[in-house]
Amino acid sequence: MEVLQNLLEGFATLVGSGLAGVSWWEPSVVIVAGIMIGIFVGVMPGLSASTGVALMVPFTYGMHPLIALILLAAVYTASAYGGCITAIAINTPGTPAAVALAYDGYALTKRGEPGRALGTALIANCTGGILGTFILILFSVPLARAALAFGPPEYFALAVFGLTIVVSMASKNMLKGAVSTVLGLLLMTIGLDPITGFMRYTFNRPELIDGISFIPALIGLFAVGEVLLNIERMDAVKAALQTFSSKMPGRKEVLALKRSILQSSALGTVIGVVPGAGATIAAFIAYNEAKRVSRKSEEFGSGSLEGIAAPAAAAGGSVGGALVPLLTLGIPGSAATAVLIGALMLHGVTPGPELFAGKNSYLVYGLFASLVLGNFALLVLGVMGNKLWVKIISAPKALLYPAILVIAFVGSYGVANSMFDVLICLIFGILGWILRRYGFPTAPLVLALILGYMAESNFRRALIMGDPSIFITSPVSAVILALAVLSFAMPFIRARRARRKAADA
Amino acid sequence: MRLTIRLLAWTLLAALAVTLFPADAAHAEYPDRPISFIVHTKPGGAIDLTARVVAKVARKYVDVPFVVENRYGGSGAVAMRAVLGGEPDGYMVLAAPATFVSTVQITQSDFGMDDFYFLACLTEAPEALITNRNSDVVTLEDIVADAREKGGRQIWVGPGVGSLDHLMAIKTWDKLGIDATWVPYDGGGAAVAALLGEHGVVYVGNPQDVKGRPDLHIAAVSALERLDRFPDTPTFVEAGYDLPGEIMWRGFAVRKGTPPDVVAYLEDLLYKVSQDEEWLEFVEANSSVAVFYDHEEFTALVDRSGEDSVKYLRMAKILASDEDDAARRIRILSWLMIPAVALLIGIVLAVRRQRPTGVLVVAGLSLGVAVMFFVRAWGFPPPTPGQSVGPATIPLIWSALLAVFAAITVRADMVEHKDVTHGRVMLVLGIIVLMGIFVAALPYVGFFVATVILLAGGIYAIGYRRHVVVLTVTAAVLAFCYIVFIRVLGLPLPIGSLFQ
Repeated sequence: MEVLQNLLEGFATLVGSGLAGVSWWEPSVVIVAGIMIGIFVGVMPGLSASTGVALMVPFTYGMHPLIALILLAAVYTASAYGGCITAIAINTPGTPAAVALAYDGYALTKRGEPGRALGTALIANCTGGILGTFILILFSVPLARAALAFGPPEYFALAVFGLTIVVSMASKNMLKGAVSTVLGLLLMTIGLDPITGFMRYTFNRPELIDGISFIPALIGLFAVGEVLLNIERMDAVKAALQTFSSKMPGRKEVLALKRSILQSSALGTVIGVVPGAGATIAAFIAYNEAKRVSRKSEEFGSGSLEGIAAPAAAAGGSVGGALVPLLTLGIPGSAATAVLIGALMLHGVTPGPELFAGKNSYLVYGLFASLVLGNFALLVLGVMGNKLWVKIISAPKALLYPAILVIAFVGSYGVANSMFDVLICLIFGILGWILRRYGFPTAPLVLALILGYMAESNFRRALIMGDPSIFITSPVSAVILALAVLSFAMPFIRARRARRKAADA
Repeated sequence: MRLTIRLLAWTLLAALAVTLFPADAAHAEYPDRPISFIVHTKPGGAIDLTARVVAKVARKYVDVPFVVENRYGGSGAVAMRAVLGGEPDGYMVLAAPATFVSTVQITQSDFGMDDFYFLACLTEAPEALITNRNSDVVTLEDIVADAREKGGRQIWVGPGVGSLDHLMAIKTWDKLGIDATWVPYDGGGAAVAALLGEHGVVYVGNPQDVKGRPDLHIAAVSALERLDRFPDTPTFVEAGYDLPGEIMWRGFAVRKGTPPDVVAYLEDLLYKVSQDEEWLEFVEANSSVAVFYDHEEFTALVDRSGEDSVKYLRMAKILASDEDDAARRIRILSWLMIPAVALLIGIVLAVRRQRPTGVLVVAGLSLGVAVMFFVRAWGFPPPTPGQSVGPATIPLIWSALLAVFAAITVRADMVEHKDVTHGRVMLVLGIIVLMGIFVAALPYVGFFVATVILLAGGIYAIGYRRHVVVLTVTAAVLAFCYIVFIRVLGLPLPIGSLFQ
């Protein structure tokens, strides 16, 4: 209960003027500003949570350390939701974690109900964020210990488990899904070999030494590919008639989602704890789990609210999860928290377990309190913002599509100030159009791009450390691999059962 | 209403023109425009933060702004190439950490460290061996004893292959007379996590890595004398090992050939920064050591690092020998695979008297790429002795799988033979050409002009004809990008070589 008392003190610090030299209104203003910046960062393709946080660091130089921390944490919190907005509105995930949500979210937008999808994502994301914060407060020490048990064999198993999700994503055409998955895995072997440093398939381009840059490829596959397909299929008369509603989901609809939101928030937080695995895998696994247990699993992929709520809640929860290793071990749980560590150091605060006990413990509890308040602020600002997003996508398509292309290219350039990345975005854009056109699913390709490197580097690391039996002798790895086999086989078994049922009837 | 829109459009355009093309184009004394620090990590990396603080402090002494440009990729090769690709005019300053020395050697770049003029080195940190207090191996003696017992199976962790820390590990094994295994991680944070989780015994890093992590212990540090900040930490020299001065340094460099007055200006500026209170505070907070090595001392340091690096990279067999004949033949052969697959499919189609469908083309191309990658992987070096899996293993598996799946898809499509419905394909191809022009023109005409081509061109191509709206939207998007990326976020968008 001491923890809760500390948390209350944290709230008091934020709401009253508990800090020397800080006005009473400053924390609230900073939270609201941070949330708005974060939403924007998430919406812009190419600006990820980590870039957004890093770009805010110089603004915090003169601030009180807690205020700086609150600002950066608010940006981080809100960027998760920002990424969902573009995924729903224009099928262009603003952050990798939002890829899983583009399926059902965009399907609803095509039906003219973006407001319902955005509202569901927002509520799920904020619930995930708040639950994640409480899990962070209550269980950070045991969770951190569990995360440390993750060595190379366990990471490899997790990557394999993540990859098995493609089976349920590509259920419409397994063969084409397999082609795009393996194509993604093969493309991911481009670059410096993770163990020996040999340059594989770099074709003498220095830009390829670190492999294909993921964000420009993602922007190309989704934003550019989607716009091209839409331009091809555009029907001027139909487009003029289509209207988008910003109506939020009803209370009953939201309450029906409580199970998948709670389950996904917890999953997101726990997977977010594992350093490096992060929000993206959490979102995919949550989507898959929600689909597995859902009574209406056939709706997934065509506008299921559960299919939106699950990844959004997981993305929200993963923020709290990623802060666990940062606060308890002093190691980053994600790219964005790595920047957070740098920023804290700039302010003379060293993240790690000593933070809880020392004179700086008010920072930790102030941060916890600000995460809770930040999610409420996000909820309010998000509802206001949704009307704006719906208005933007209601603009004439002839204006909207070229503008999306421009933003996609700026975003790709902005990732590393690299012309080569713009080229990558163009190439993957054309690839995305062609793949969609001929019914090859693009999400498995993206998942393979995300997990391919993680799978190979940890497989190789594990084999340097011991013999191949290490994958089975490690209990954690064995359990995850068993789950992977189940998750891989499940859709096949279900399909067979359904066929038999159909044959009987 | 229409008048207001028109007015708004012109105002925006005018404002943009003024900001983009400033009136004074005449060359004044250096510096007369913003100076860029080129950083090879993403925003937030250690060297990025260093560069940002230097930029902030330097602003006190100079009247032009400093911009930090992150050009990551290729472990620094991209950033170095960016500086060498620019004019030697002192407006692109490279933030150079010690790892660049081995990056140049490993990636077999067509440039070397002697293409740079080293201005000054501002920080250094001694290399250190760090262990986990909760494990059985804590002190330097423990490490040596445990290594002897495990006979080469002792695991050392750290960031990257051939990185400064990896070199330090190899050097240490050499001087300590032990054998161990290096397991590279993606960055220091992940490697520290591995040490904390006891997936490795020793982590190679710097003393500041133990800050805030009470479970970590510095077993030994490479310094002549004990560090003020860590008086209980023994040095290698005390323990009788000849590792007195292994350091990680961070400094700044420009392209060789930069005029002497510009170089002198920058050197003086960096000296002022190195003495500034705010800078010293930052270095203190990061527990590294603030130094000032001038051009001569810094160049000598870089040269010494270079010689060491070659020696130990060879020892670890990381520096690949030149491509042999067999590998070259395989590489050339691999390129023939795509046309060969295309020809094969063409023949089958001709025999079956079928026209190719779109699906068949996609699957066929995937098959070609798969075979190309597969053949090429046979030219990769074999696994390190004692290992069953090498650089070629995973690419071979994936390319073989892709070839199988793609071949089945090709076969299935030939049997099914059904094409998708076509939409406005010509329009899409037109837009793709427009995007191609945008990408090709970007380096020359800059972001803003290229955007006008793509945006206005795209809107008209799709068939929209309300000129005022097009103008307004174009101006609004340009203004938005300018304000957000350049003004607020400080991300420099290309202005174009024609205008510079």
